[in-house]
Amino acid sequence: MRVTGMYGGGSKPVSRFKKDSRAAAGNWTLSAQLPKEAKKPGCEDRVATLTQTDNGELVLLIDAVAAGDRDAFGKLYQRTAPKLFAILLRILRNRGTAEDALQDVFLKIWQNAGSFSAEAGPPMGWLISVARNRAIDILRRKNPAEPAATETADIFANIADTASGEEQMTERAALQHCLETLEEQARACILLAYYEGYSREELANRFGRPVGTIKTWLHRSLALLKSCLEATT
Amino acid sequence: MTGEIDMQAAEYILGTLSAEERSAFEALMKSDASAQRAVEIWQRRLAPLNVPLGEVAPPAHIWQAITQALPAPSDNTGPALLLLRRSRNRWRLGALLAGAIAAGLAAFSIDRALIVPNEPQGSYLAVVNRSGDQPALIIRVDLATRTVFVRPVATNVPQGRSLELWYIGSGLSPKSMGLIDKTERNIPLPESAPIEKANFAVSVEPPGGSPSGAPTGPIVYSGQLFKE
Repeated sequence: MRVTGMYGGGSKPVSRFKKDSRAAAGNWTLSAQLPKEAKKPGCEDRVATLTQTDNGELVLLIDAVAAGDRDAFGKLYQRTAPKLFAILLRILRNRGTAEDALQDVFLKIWQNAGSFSAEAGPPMGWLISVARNRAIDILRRKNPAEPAATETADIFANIADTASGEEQMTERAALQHCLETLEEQARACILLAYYEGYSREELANRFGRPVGTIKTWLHRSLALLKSCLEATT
Repeated sequence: MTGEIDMQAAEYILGTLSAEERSAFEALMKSDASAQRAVEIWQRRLAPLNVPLGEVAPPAHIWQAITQALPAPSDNTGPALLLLRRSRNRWRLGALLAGAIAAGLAAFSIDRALIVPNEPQGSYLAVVNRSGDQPALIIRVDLATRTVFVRPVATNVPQGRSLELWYIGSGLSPKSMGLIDKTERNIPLPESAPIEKANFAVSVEPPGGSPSGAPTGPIVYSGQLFKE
């Protein structure tokens, strides 16, 4: 649903308080009645998937965790651990390592919840950053990484799949489109790095190119992605 | 920001920096806000890559291990923390309302409104997101103590204007609850104000608030209080 407010679009009249009459102590008409909007059919369905989980409630949970609230910590874990575990499993490629990492990640979340700032970005993004940072730190200290058990070539094609919910579809479709505009090897570098945790050296081995070339590829691809995303969204 | 910092931020999020480069960049992020910001932007750019990964339930022993590793609970948590905890418990008794105010109010849109069953007791949390972002403003109303707790999350007050919060009881004139800025506030609900069908609204007003005591500017957000 979309509720367009004051200056938005230009076609919709600006919402204002309108006093209908002086009788009956004044009747006030309001725009964008939240409950009416929220109770539209279909909204309940969207609550079911984690990625649809409202950011606001995650913000409240992280706030409560920062205050030392263990119940909230348990709820945050229930809500987000399956997603973070999937990410850790993918990049670490080892179940035991991923399980240990998940523990580390939630202990970090417990310790650092106070540093989360909702203004810096969505709460799920912050949680994913904590998980990915932990995973990458583990991978970079270990050499070499375990061989990839899975291929990343086509997984990005599902970024904008509606089976994964429909939230942030604009951003998802834009990223999928912009990845498609990259050359195949350049795209593979990005995806192997993000999904499988490949270092520049590992990418160099994989593609039989010098590390310096890989770095150039990465920078060129990232710059192309950036300008494509900025043009698309 | 320089292109070099932006590329390091991109590679930091991508994960291709070496251990040394990662450490060095993390140190830079602590002192350089533009590096920090670049990382946040790249994180968001690439975040959709996580969507196809789905979810995998971790084994139950992980949570046990986490709780065992937590420091022992302390009673000496200080008044601020106690306040937060109390208020959290009060949400269950009361109602929650969350609203969004447009950043800069240039193109305000609310993409989604969700109701999430929050507690088995049946209290509800309502959240309106702006373009899938975090809510700008969270308003919690505790019916037991008749307190309105206003927490700006990402509120952007338009330049040269003020945002004013209004309580509108059913059939009553809007009553000002004060201006909204970057600080959290507890406001007592107006004496004997009816809660049934009460609305909250935020309007854009001249600096310092409405001169007339009634809303004069456009409403950027309004929402009705949920009854448990």
